[in-house]
Amino acid sequence: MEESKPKFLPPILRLPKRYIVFEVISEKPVGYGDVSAALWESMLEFLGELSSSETRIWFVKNLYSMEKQRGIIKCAHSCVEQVRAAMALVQVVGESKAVFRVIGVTGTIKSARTKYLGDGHGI
Amino acid sequence: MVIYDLHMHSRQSIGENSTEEMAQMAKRLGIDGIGVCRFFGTKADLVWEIPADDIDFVKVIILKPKTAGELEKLAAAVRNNAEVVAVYGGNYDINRAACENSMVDVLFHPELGRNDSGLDHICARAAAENNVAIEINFREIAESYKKHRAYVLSFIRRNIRLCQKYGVPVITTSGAHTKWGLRSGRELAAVSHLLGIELSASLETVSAVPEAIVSENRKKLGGKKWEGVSIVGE
Repeated sequence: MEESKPKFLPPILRLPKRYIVFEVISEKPVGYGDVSAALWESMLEFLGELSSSETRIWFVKNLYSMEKQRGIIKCAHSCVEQVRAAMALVQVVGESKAVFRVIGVTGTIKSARTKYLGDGHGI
Repeated sequence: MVIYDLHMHSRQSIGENSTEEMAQMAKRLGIDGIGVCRFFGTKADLVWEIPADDIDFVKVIILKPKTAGELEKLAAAVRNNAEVVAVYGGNYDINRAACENSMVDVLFHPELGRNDSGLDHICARAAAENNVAIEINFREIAESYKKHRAYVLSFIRRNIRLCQKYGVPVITTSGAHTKWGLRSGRELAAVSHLLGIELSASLETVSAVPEAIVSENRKKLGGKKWEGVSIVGE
């Protein structure tokens, strides 16, 4: 029997969020796993566990493009600057030197895809 | 908004990459102007190799005096050749002498290698009077770890508080030694915002403040501006 899940919260109770569209400039192409690990390490090092939890960061795995080296991160609307700073502090992704560049910040995943990734990207 | 990064090192000083490679990476990160830094030793250091590119290259000379007294002579020697005169901070006496010298434009990393912030209220007041900008160096934060990074962040935070109290201009730079050390202006602004500057003001630390320093000095070097007088039209 399938385990029951909590229901989706009504929109009024959902916490506001932002989608950060980023690009990784690196020596060699890097995969989603390395990008995610590098950013988590930077966040925990720079912001600590408590502040990292406040950012409510979530990687949108299926929208990471290995060819374009672009992806989307969801975070709390009040913590965009914290995530940007943590991204800036990443120096190595996987085994190659890298720089994160934020392309844009949007309020919905739809506008992130249409504005910055091109429609029909990823999925 | 024009983004400037006034502190980065290419092979012309102690950097690993050529000026062209640095410029290419800067363009990719949306930076409009970069400071080509050189350390001043002899008159030969006052000749910059500026590649042909559409990015704005700013000629930055870094003074590294041994004593506070030497700073005055060095500043006078380079003032008419460099677009930005910066002082390599870290020693309190030199930090203070730089803040008290109107020929200096920027004091780089006043807290470098110290157990304190390297500035006090006297320096901050003098920097405001002489219009000397204080640098927030991103590389210092990025290259330090754990306890040391916490100290660096608290020293920079203290310097920012002093600068805000006395109205000292602040600039944020990458301080990059390689092209991988460069960061976009918006990311640098995010770091300075987290260290206590309002978001709009932190954006100015990478745009309006360095742009004003560069344009003022270019006018002076071009003979269009003198102390208190400027040509507004011909």
